[in-house]
Formats: sequence, C-alpha cells, structure tokens
Amino acid sequence: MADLSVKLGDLELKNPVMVAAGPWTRDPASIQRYVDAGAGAVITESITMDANQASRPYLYRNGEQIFNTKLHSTLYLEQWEELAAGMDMRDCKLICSIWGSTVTEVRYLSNYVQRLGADAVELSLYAPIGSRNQSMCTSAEHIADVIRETMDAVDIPVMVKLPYEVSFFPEVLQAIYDAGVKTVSSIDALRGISGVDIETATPNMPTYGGYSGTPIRPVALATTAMLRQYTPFYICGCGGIQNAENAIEQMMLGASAFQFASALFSRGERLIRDTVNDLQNWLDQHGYRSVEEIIGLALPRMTAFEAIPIRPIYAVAEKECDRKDCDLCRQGCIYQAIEYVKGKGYRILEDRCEGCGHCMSVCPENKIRLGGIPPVSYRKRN
Amino acid sequence: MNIRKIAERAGVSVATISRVLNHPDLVSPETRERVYAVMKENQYTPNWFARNLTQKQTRTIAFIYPSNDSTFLQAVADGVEIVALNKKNLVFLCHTNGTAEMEREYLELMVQRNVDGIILFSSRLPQEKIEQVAGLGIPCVHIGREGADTERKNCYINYIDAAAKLTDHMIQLGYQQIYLLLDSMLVNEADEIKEGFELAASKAPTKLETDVYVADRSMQGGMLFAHRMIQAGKMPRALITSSARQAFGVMKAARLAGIRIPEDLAIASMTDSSVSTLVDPPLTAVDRPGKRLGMVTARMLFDCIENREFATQNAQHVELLAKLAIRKSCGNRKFIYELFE
Repeated sequence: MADLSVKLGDLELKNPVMVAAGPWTRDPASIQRYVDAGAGAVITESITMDANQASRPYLYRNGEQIFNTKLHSTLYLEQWEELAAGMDMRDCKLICSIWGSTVTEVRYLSNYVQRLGADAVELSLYAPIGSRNQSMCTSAEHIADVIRETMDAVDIPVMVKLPYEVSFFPEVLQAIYDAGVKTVSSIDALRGISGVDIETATPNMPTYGGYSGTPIRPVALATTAMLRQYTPFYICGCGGIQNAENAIEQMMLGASAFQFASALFSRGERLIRDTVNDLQNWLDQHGYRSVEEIIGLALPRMTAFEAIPIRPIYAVAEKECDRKDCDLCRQGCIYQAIEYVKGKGYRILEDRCEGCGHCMSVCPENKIRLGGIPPVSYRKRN
Repeated sequence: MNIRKIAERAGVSVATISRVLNHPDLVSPETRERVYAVMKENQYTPNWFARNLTQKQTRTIAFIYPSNDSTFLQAVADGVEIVALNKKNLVFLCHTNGTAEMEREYLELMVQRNVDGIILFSSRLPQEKIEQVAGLGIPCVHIGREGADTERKNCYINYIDAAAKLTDHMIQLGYQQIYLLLDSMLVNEADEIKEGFELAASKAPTKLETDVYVADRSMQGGMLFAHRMIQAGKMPRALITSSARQAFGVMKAARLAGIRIPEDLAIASMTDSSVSTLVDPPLTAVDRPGKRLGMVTARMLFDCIENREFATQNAQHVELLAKLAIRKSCGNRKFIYELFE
C-alpha cells in the first residue's frame, strides 16, 4: 500500500486530501463531517472579528460554473470557540483561515485561533468579493508586515491563500517567502459575473462573485505549475478539482496537497472518502510507494513556449468521412484547408494546412491526426 | 509553560487541553489523567480557569460612552453587547454627554456595582483615575487612540488613514481648494482628522489651497458655518465635514443660496449616516466599522477578565480601518453607483 502522508511545510498530513476554506466549512459541525470522512486537513471558512451577515442568495450556479457572494464566516469568535470544544479532529489537521483589515486585527485573530486548537493559520489577503479596501494586497511591503506580525503572534505555521492575480507578481511572492511562509494555497476563486439577462439588462447576480468550479481548473493547474517552477513554496492546489484524477493532475504539476472546494456542492463529504480510496488504489495499481513520488512528475515534460520545436506537420485524414451533418472540421478551419466534395466526402488541402491541430481536437470520431511532411510546393512557397 | 507546550508533552491537541479544562466529561479518562499528570509535572496552572473557580464574578460589564446620538455609537454598543451576550454577560450602558464629571460619576457607580470590566469610549479622565480603577483589579479597555503611550489596552479606528483617503479622493477629483470643517465636541479624533487631511494635502500633485474651521457637529452647526462662509464669499470649491449632519446643514444652506452641489461646491463627510443615500445628491462619506470596533474592544476586555494566558501576549492596541462610501456629493462621475473603496 502506497504511503499517502505528505509534508506540507511544517505540517505533516496523513493524506493530501484537504477541504478549502468556504461556506462548506462554516462551522465545527460541518468540519467534523470532513474529518470523519478521512480528510488530511480541513480549513475553516475565513474567521473575522465581526461575523458577516451572508447576503441571500449567495450561490449562483450555471452548469459547472459556480459563483458565490459569501465573504466570510457568519459565526462570532465566541461561537467558534464554544463549538470547537466539541470537535474531535483526531489525526486530521485543523487550519483556520482568517481575515482582518489591519496588522493588529490579524495578529489578534491568529492568536485567538491558535487557542482554538488550530494546527496552522491561513491568511486570506484578498477576496474576489467586496470592495478593494477589503484587500490586504496593497503592497508587497504591507503583506510582509502582516505575515511577520502573524508569525510573531503564534507558534503554528502560517500559510497564505494566493489569488490567481497575485501569483504573477514575483516581488509579492518573494515578500511572502522572505517573511517566512512555506506553504501557499492556490488559487482563490476568480472574480466573476455569471451573466446578464439582456431582455431586462439585469446582471444575473447583484455584485461580483467568487467564480469557481470545473471551468477554472486549467487556470489552477497552470498556476500550480508556475509556482512550482519559480518559487520554493509547498503548494496546496485548489480550483475546480472534482475527483482523484484531477487531484493527481494537480500533484503531478507540483502540488504537495490539494483542496476540494465547490465540488463539495455536488458530492458532499462522500467526495473525501471516495478520493482517499481512489487515490490509494491508483497509486497501488501504478506501483508507487508514496504519494510524494508523483509531486511534480509531469513538470519535466513541460516545455517553455520558446523552446517548442517547430515541426513541419499538417493534418492527415486517417479515415474517409462523409458526415456532412457534422462539418465541425471544415467550419472551424481558419485556413480554409478543408473542403467537402459531394460524393467524395471531406478532403484536407495539404498545401493550405498550417498544422494548427484544431480539426484534430474537434473531430468527434478521431479521424484526423497530425503528421506527414508538407508537399514540395508548400515548402517552396515559403 | 503554556497550553501549547502542555499539549505537545501530553501528545494531544490544544483543543483537547481546552476540553480537559472546560468539559472534562467529554474527554476519555485516560487522556484526562495523562493531561493532568503533565500539568502537574510541569507545574502548570491555567490562570483563566483557576480565576473562574475562585473568584466571584458578577458577569456584568460597563460601557461608558460620550454620546448616543449617532448610528455609529449604536453600532459600537451593538458590537459590545453581541460579545457580552455570547459570554452570557450583561452590559451597563452609561451615557456621559461627553463630560468628564459624568464619566467619573459613572465610573464610580460601576466600581461600586462590582462590574467585571469597563469599556471607556474617548475617555476624558486623567490617567491617575484610570490607574486607580485598574488598581482595584477591574480591567479597562479604551476605545480611541488616546493614551497609546501608556499601558492601556485600546482599540481604535485609524482616522488619520480615513481622512487622508477621503482628502486624496477629493484631490483625485481635481479640486485645488479643499477646506476641512472639524467638530467642536471631538478632541483627539479631530487632531487625527486634521493630521490625515494635511498629510494627503502635502502629497497633492499641485499646490492645494486648504483651510480648517470648527463648528458644532449638528445640522445647525453646518448651516451656520455655511451661511457665514457664503456671506463672506469664502465658500471653497470642496469641503470635508467631520459629521454627516454638518454636511446636511451645509447642503441645506447651499441650496437656499443657489449654490449647486457638486457643481459649485463638492462635499464629503468623515462620518456616514443612515440617510446619506436619501439626500440629493447622495453624500460621499467615511464608513466606519462601528460594530467591529465594539466587538474587538469587548473581546479585549473579556480576555483580561478571564485573565487568559493569551490575553497578555496579545497586542495592546488593535487598529481598524474605515472605508469610503463614494456617492455623488463629492462630484464623482466615474462610478455609476455607490462604491465602497
């Protein structure tokens, strides 16, 4: 049996399955359900000095796209304290997410949650919801101050929740690292509006929401890969993860652990149990001895854009096709390199094809592949 | 020796230690005994717990504040009460009319009533008096920045930051003549507002014409001020008032004099009001986190009352930030709707 335990900065998790901060971890009773389901760590919804009233409704769903306008925990500190006493974390780590507007507020809160029994603090420096003033990410210097004060106030590890936007600023990442943070959770929900009812010219939601769900998974994967390549942080991959397979993708691009978030709206705590099992089985079937072996495994196979070799390939039809009803390849070809000839079916015009790969991706029957060398006339023209 | 080290040595979580102390029945007997043994071995006494057992508490606190005539103060009192109720405590609300005599009287009454702790809002009492109360073992936490150089525990809104933000907003809108109207009742806050105003003005890209006046915080105060300025022909292009009611008074006087807002006079206030969005044009104002201020202060007080080990480690000062509610009276045209900045 492969060993599932992972090291996450100064934390040791029994497995890399985490539950992200969000309305699903709004109170100790909810957290207990994920603990009982076998999660390696659970992060509380962001705890603040004043419990926010949640606007209602605060969840907007459009297929796989999920939007929320709930900012922070609606429980008072005293309620967290009272309820947390009845919690049994066993071998699961409790991470308390906190938000405050000033250094002193964050300092007070981090100390408070340490007393609640938190194994780590996660600083929420920014939220996709609410005004810009709520954001602590005003400058690298300020962020470093907040982190240093927090570290000084507690003796448990301090993690940072990184929004997608911040992952692009080397000076901010450097400041966070220099201040002593070893672990980041990335990414936070994106800022989004689900749509506009054009008949009444009314947005589908009254304000910006946190946009999460399957569609943001590619963004999260790219951020993990980028952070892993450019920074020494331990990464908790988060964003659109739906199952063990998605989680393995995250880990192969460099995450040491991963967080479930809006997927819990679909499957609840069963998702945790299933993922732990599926991950264990997959690792065993593939002969891995430890889950840590797969961290960053796919990274060496990534190539910098600049280093991608330019190959003279073009589309080749592997099978004949006469499905005029489909027509996706022809319609989508911006080089007009695919034509339909009545009675003969589809034909690829090799001298026009630039080998972009669109037709190959779009063909529902996988009849097209990329290959071959362009005809002589094509090469001459260039 | 602290709770965390005890937890470490007993091989359990801090939450478990907490449970052993508060709800021993919820902990397995083996764990409980192990924790007790480690505590004994390390001579650890959880102070807050011991105090609860030994000392008679009245489960009451006092909130002594200068004036109850604003929604802001109501929000602060609300915050104090929420935390007190969460702690199963009652709050005595003592309104001093902003005078040191009434504050002293209330303070003495509250001490006689054996309250467990006292919150003082913008206290006007001398430090010796405060120390005298502290000497009786009754903890005090202050709202307001004053006395920050003493041993006081206090929680405050950063008015320097708020005033600088608001002034800067007016500068961004292109005004080169901005005056500040202070509140004659306020002392410390007024100094901070002035400091923030001057700080932002000094950083303005072009030379700014500034001036500072003082008026009563009421609507009447604002109106009288505006009448005098209009008569003297000294009404500035932009004005920042200390209170929303001053701003309403200025707006009323301006309307009577045919001065258009914001075209002729741009106006913004250092405090918000529940009717700011009802006046025409809606008033741009500083939105202060009143409830949070009350809650944080009350928590700091209860940390002292319960004498928790971690209360002493905590910062003595907690600072809160206000937001700008950008509406229309300032001349903002960039944002279509109200924007909190």
